[in-house]
Amino acid sequence: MFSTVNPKAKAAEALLTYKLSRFRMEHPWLPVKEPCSVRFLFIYPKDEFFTKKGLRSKNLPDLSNLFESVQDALQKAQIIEDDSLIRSHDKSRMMWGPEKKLVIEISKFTESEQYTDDD
Amino acid sequence: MGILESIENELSKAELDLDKILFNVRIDTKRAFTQANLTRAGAENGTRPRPPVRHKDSSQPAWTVDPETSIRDRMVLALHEGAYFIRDKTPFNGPLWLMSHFLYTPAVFYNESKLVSRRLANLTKLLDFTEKCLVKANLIQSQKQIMSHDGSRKMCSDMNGLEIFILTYDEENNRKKFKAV
Repeated sequence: MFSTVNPKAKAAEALLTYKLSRFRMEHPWLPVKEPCSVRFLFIYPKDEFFTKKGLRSKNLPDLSNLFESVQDALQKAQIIEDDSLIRSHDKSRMMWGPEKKLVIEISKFTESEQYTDDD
Repeated sequence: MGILESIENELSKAELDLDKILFNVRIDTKRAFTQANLTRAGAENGTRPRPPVRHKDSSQPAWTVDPETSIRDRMVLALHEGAYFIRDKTPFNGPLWLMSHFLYTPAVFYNESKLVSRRLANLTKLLDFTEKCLVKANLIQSQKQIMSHDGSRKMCSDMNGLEIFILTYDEENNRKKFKAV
Protein backbone atom coordinates (compact mmCIF):
# COMPACT_ATOMS: atom_id res chain seq x y z
CA MET A 1 0.00 0.00 0.00
CA PHE A 2 2.70 2.48 0.93
CA SER A 3 5.35 2.92 -1.78
CA THR A 4 5.31 5.67 -4.43
CA VAL A 5 7.29 3.94 -7.16
CA ASN A 6 4.52 2.18 -9.07
CA PRO A 7 0.99 3.20 -10.15
CA LYS A 8 -0.57 1.02 -7.44
CA ALA A 9 1.46 2.87 -4.85
CA LYS A 10 0.54 6.23 -6.36
CA ALA A 11 -3.09 5.24 -5.98
CA ALA A 12 -2.42 4.31 -2.36
CA GLU A 13 -0.89 7.74 -1.76
CA ALA A 14 -3.95 9.36 -3.34
CA LEU A 15 -6.19 7.28 -1.08
CA LEU A 16 -4.20 8.31 1.96
CA THR A 17 -4.42 11.97 0.91
CA TYR A 18 -8.17 11.56 0.56
CA LYS A 19 -8.50 9.95 4.00
CA LEU A 20 -6.38 12.63 5.63
CA SER A 21 -8.39 15.36 3.90
CA ARG A 22 -11.58 13.74 5.20
CA PHE A 23 -10.08 13.72 8.67
CA ARG A 24 -9.35 17.43 8.36
CA MET A 25 -12.91 18.18 7.29
CA GLU A 26 -14.41 16.14 10.10
CA HIS A 27 -12.15 17.47 12.84
CA PRO A 28 -11.14 21.03 13.61
CA TRP A 29 -7.51 21.07 12.52
CA LEU A 30 -5.13 23.85 11.64
CA PRO A 31 -2.15 22.81 9.56
CA VAL A 32 1.01 22.30 11.58
CA LYS A 33 3.18 25.35 11.02
CA GLU A 34 5.95 24.67 13.52
CA PRO A 35 8.91 22.30 13.46
CA CYS A 36 7.66 18.83 14.29
CA SER A 37 8.71 15.24 14.79
CA VAL A 38 6.80 12.52 13.02
CA ARG A 39 6.66 8.86 13.76
CA PHE A 40 5.28 6.49 11.17
CA LEU A 41 4.57 2.83 11.80
CA PHE A 42 4.02 0.83 8.66
CA ILE A 43 2.40 -2.36 9.83
CA TYR A 44 2.17 -5.29 7.44
CA PRO A 45 0.45 -8.63 7.91
CA LYS A 46 2.82 -11.40 8.91
CA ASP A 47 2.59 -13.20 5.56
CA GLU A 48 3.62 -10.03 3.70
CA PHE A 49 6.33 -9.02 6.13
CA PHE A 50 8.14 -12.36 6.26
CA THR A 51 9.10 -14.92 3.66
CA LYS A 52 8.13 -18.55 4.14
CA LYS A 53 11.55 -19.11 5.70
CA GLY A 54 10.81 -16.50 8.36
CA LEU A 55 13.13 -13.82 6.94
CA ARG A 56 12.07 -10.24 6.30
CA SER A 57 10.59 -10.07 2.79
CA LYS A 58 12.61 -8.30 0.12
CA ASN A 59 9.40 -7.11 -1.49
CA LEU A 60 8.91 -4.52 1.24
CA PRO A 61 9.66 -0.97 0.03
CA ASP A 62 12.51 1.25 1.20
CA LEU A 63 11.80 3.05 4.44
CA SER A 64 12.71 6.46 2.98
CA ASN A 65 10.25 5.96 0.10
CA LEU A 66 7.53 5.20 2.61
CA PHE A 67 8.38 8.37 4.54
CA GLU A 68 8.19 10.40 1.35
CA SER A 69 4.84 8.98 0.39
CA VAL A 70 3.18 9.70 3.73
CA GLN A 71 4.74 13.15 4.02
CA ASP A 72 3.46 14.09 0.57
CA ALA A 73 -0.02 13.04 1.63
CA LEU A 74 0.24 14.97 4.90
CA GLN A 75 1.24 18.08 2.99
CA LYS A 76 -1.38 17.69 0.26
CA ALA A 77 -4.09 17.20 2.89
CA GLN A 78 -2.67 20.22 4.75
CA ILE A 79 -2.22 18.32 7.99
CA ILE A 80 1.27 19.77 7.85
CA GLU A 81 1.75 23.05 6.04
CA ASP A 82 5.12 22.09 4.56
CA ASP A 83 7.02 18.83 4.89
CA SER A 84 10.26 20.78 5.37
CA LEU A 85 8.96 21.38 8.92
CA ILE A 86 9.59 17.72 9.72
CA ARG A 87 12.76 17.49 11.77
CA SER A 88 12.82 13.86 12.84
CA HIS A 89 11.48 10.42 12.02
CA ASP A 90 12.66 8.79 15.23
CA LYS A 91 11.19 5.40 16.04
CA SER A 92 9.51 5.10 12.65
CA ARG A 93 9.50 1.48 11.58
CA MET A 94 8.16 -1.15 9.28
CA MET A 95 6.66 -3.82 11.49
CA TRP A 96 4.34 -6.75 11.27
CA GLY A 97 0.98 -7.03 12.99
CA PRO A 98 -2.45 -8.57 12.73
CA GLU A 99 -3.53 -6.29 9.89
CA LYS A 100 -2.15 -3.76 7.42
CA LYS A 101 -2.14 -0.43 9.13
CA LEU A 102 -0.44 2.95 9.10
CA VAL A 103 0.05 4.81 12.36
CA ILE A 104 1.00 8.49 12.19
CA GLU A 105 2.08 10.50 15.21
CA ILE A 106 3.03 14.16 15.00
CA SER A 107 4.58 15.93 17.94
CA LYS A 108 6.23 19.26 18.57
CA PHE A 109 9.96 19.27 17.92
CA THR A 110 11.70 20.83 20.89
CA GLU A 111 15.36 19.81 20.51
CA SER A 112 18.17 22.26 19.93
CA GLU A 113 19.27 22.23 16.32
CA GLN A 114 22.82 23.23 17.13
CA TYR A 115 25.29 20.45 16.41
CA THR A 116 27.72 19.56 19.17
CA ASP A 117 30.36 16.82 19.21
CA ASP A 118 28.31 15.03 21.88
CA ASP A 119 25.53 14.36 19.35
CA MET B 1 -1.37 -6.41 25.34
CA GLY B 2 -2.52 -4.49 22.26
CA ILE B 3 -0.43 -4.19 19.12
CA LEU B 4 0.49 -0.57 19.82
CA GLU B 5 1.65 -1.28 23.37
CA SER B 6 3.79 -4.16 22.15
CA ILE B 7 5.31 -1.94 19.43
CA GLU B 8 5.95 0.70 22.06
CA ASN B 9 7.84 -1.87 24.14
CA GLU B 10 9.92 -2.94 21.15
CA LEU B 11 10.82 0.61 20.25
CA SER B 12 11.79 1.68 23.74
CA LYS B 13 14.68 -0.80 23.50
CA ALA B 14 16.14 0.99 20.46
CA GLU B 15 18.64 3.20 22.26
CA LEU B 16 22.01 4.17 20.80
CA ASP B 17 24.57 1.53 21.67
CA LEU B 18 28.10 2.61 20.76
CA ASP B 19 29.19 -1.02 20.37
CA LYS B 20 26.82 -1.30 17.44
CA ILE B 21 28.58 1.36 15.35
CA LEU B 22 30.01 -0.27 12.23
CA PHE B 23 31.09 2.83 10.37
CA ASN B 24 31.32 6.52 11.10
CA VAL B 25 32.47 9.28 8.80
CA ARG B 26 32.24 13.05 8.84
CA ILE B 27 32.43 14.74 5.47
CA ASP B 28 32.99 18.40 4.86
CA THR B 29 31.31 18.74 1.46
CA LYS B 30 33.45 21.72 0.52
CA ARG B 31 36.69 19.95 1.42
CA ALA B 32 35.55 16.73 -0.22
CA PHE B 33 35.39 18.85 -3.36
CA THR B 34 38.45 21.07 -2.99
CA GLN B 35 40.84 18.46 -1.62
CA ALA B 36 40.49 16.50 -4.79
CA ASN B 37 42.68 17.23 -7.78
CA LEU B 38 40.28 19.12 -10.02
CA THR B 39 40.43 18.81 -13.75
CA ARG B 40 38.30 20.67 -16.22
CA ALA B 41 38.82 18.15 -18.98
CA GLY B 42 35.31 16.75 -18.82
CA ALA B 43 33.70 20.19 -18.68
CA GLU B 44 35.80 21.64 -21.52
CA ASN B 45 35.04 19.02 -24.09
CA GLY B 46 31.41 18.80 -23.08
CA THR B 47 31.48 15.14 -22.16
CA ARG B 48 29.84 13.70 -19.09
CA PRO B 49 31.79 14.05 -15.83
CA ARG B 50 34.25 11.24 -15.55
CA PRO B 51 34.23 8.84 -12.64
CA PRO B 52 36.98 9.42 -10.08
CA VAL B 53 40.33 7.86 -10.89
CA ARG B 54 42.76 6.73 -8.26
CA HIS B 55 46.33 7.90 -9.00
CA LYS B 56 49.14 5.36 -8.86
CA ASP B 57 51.71 8.13 -8.34
CA SER B 58 51.75 8.78 -4.59
CA SER B 59 52.94 12.39 -5.09
CA GLN B 60 49.57 13.16 -6.68
CA PRO B 61 46.40 13.70 -4.66
CA ALA B 62 44.58 10.42 -4.15
CA TRP B 63 41.67 11.14 -6.41
CA THR B 64 40.89 13.07 -9.55
CA VAL B 65 37.42 14.47 -9.82
CA ASP B 66 35.84 16.63 -12.45
CA PRO B 67 34.51 19.97 -11.14
CA GLU B 68 31.23 19.28 -12.88
CA THR B 69 30.81 16.10 -10.87
CA SER B 70 27.49 16.06 -9.07
CA ILE B 71 27.24 16.45 -5.31
CA ARG B 72 26.19 12.81 -5.18
CA ASP B 73 29.35 11.68 -6.93
CA ARG B 74 31.44 13.85 -4.63
CA MET B 75 29.72 12.30 -1.64
CA VAL B 76 30.30 8.82 -3.01
CA LEU B 77 33.93 9.70 -3.52
CA ALA B 78 34.25 10.98 0.04
CA LEU B 79 32.53 7.87 1.38
CA HIS B 80 34.92 5.71 -0.63
CA GLU B 81 37.82 7.59 0.90
CA GLY B 82 36.33 7.32 4.37
CA ALA B 83 35.77 3.62 3.98
CA TYR B 84 39.02 2.84 2.19
CA PHE B 85 41.30 2.84 5.20
CA ILE B 86 39.18 1.08 7.76
CA ARG B 87 37.68 -1.95 6.13
CA ASP B 88 37.69 -4.22 3.14
CA LYS B 89 35.51 -3.46 0.18
CA THR B 90 32.61 -5.77 0.89
CA PRO B 91 29.39 -3.95 1.75
CA PHE B 92 27.77 -4.33 5.14
CA ASN B 93 25.26 -7.16 5.29
CA GLY B 94 21.97 -7.44 7.07
CA PRO B 95 19.65 -4.92 8.64
CA LEU B 96 21.20 -1.56 9.49
CA TRP B 97 20.42 1.60 11.37
CA LEU B 98 21.56 4.74 9.57
CA MET B 99 21.95 7.91 11.59
CA SER B 100 22.77 10.95 9.46
CA HIS B 101 23.51 14.47 10.61
CA PHE B 102 23.14 17.01 7.81
CA LEU B 103 25.28 19.95 8.82
CA TYR B 104 24.84 23.53 7.65
CA THR B 105 26.63 26.72 8.57
CA PRO B 106 24.43 29.32 10.31
CA ALA B 107 24.30 31.44 7.14
CA VAL B 108 22.67 28.55 5.30
CA PHE B 109 20.69 27.07 8.18
CA TYR B 110 18.86 30.23 9.26
CA ASN B 111 16.93 32.79 7.25
CA GLU B 112 16.88 36.55 7.84
CA SER B 113 14.28 36.13 10.59
CA LYS B 114 16.64 33.73 12.38
CA LEU B 115 14.25 30.84 11.79
CA VAL B 116 15.38 27.59 10.22
CA SER B 117 15.34 28.21 6.49
CA ARG B 118 12.64 26.43 4.53
CA ARG B 119 14.96 26.35 1.56
CA LEU B 120 16.85 23.41 3.04
CA ALA B 121 16.01 20.12 1.36
CA ASN B 122 13.44 18.12 3.28
CA LEU B 123 14.80 15.48 5.62
CA THR B 124 13.36 12.50 3.73
CA LYS B 125 15.00 13.56 0.47
CA LEU B 126 18.30 13.92 2.29
CA LEU B 127 17.92 10.47 3.83
CA ASP B 128 17.12 8.95 0.45
CA PHE B 129 20.11 10.75 -1.06
CA THR B 130 22.42 9.42 1.65
CA GLU B 131 21.14 5.87 1.22
CA LYS B 132 21.75 6.06 -2.53
CA CYS B 133 25.29 7.38 -1.93
CA LEU B 134 25.99 4.50 0.44
CA VAL B 135 24.81 1.99 -2.15
CA LYS B 136 26.90 3.64 -4.85
CA ALA B 137 29.95 3.73 -2.58
CA ASN B 138 29.42 0.01 -2.00
CA LEU B 139 29.11 0.44 1.75
CA ILE B 140 25.67 -1.18 1.74
CA GLN B 141 24.06 -3.53 -0.76
CA SER B 142 20.58 -2.08 -0.89
CA GLN B 143 18.49 0.73 0.56
CA LYS B 144 16.17 -1.97 1.87
CA GLN B 145 18.77 -2.82 4.51
CA ILE B 146 18.04 0.45 6.32
CA MET B 147 15.53 -0.31 9.04
CA SER B 148 15.80 2.86 11.06
CA HIS B 149 16.76 6.51 10.67
CA ASP B 150 16.54 7.29 14.38
CA GLY B 151 18.61 10.31 15.39
CA SER B 152 18.90 11.68 11.84
CA ARG B 153 18.71 15.45 11.84
CA LYS B 154 19.44 18.63 9.96
CA MET B 155 21.69 20.68 12.21
CA CYS B 156 23.46 24.01 12.46
CA SER B 157 27.22 23.57 12.61
CA ASP B 158 30.51 25.27 11.75
CA MET B 159 30.67 23.51 8.39
CA ASN B 160 28.50 22.35 5.54
CA GLY B 161 28.72 18.62 5.51
CA LEU B 162 27.40 15.30 6.58
CA GLU B 163 28.12 12.98 9.46
CA ILE B 164 27.06 9.37 9.01
CA PHE B 165 26.83 6.55 11.49
CA ILE B 166 26.03 3.06 10.29
CA LEU B 167 24.99 0.79 13.12
CA THR B 168 23.76 -2.76 13.38
CA TYR B 169 20.02 -3.00 13.74
CA ASP B 170 18.82 -5.64 16.12
CA GLU B 171 15.89 -7.44 14.62
CA GLU B 172 15.98 -10.31 17.08
CA ASN B 173 13.01 -9.12 19.06
CA ASN B 174 10.89 -9.07 15.95
CA ARG B 175 12.01 -12.55 14.99
CA LYS B 176 11.38 -13.99 18.45
CA LYS B 177 7.93 -12.54 18.43
CA PHE B 178 7.30 -14.04 15.01
CA LYS B 179 8.41 -17.51 16.12
CA ALA B 180 6.26 -17.32 19.21
CA VAL B 181 3.08 -16.81 17.22
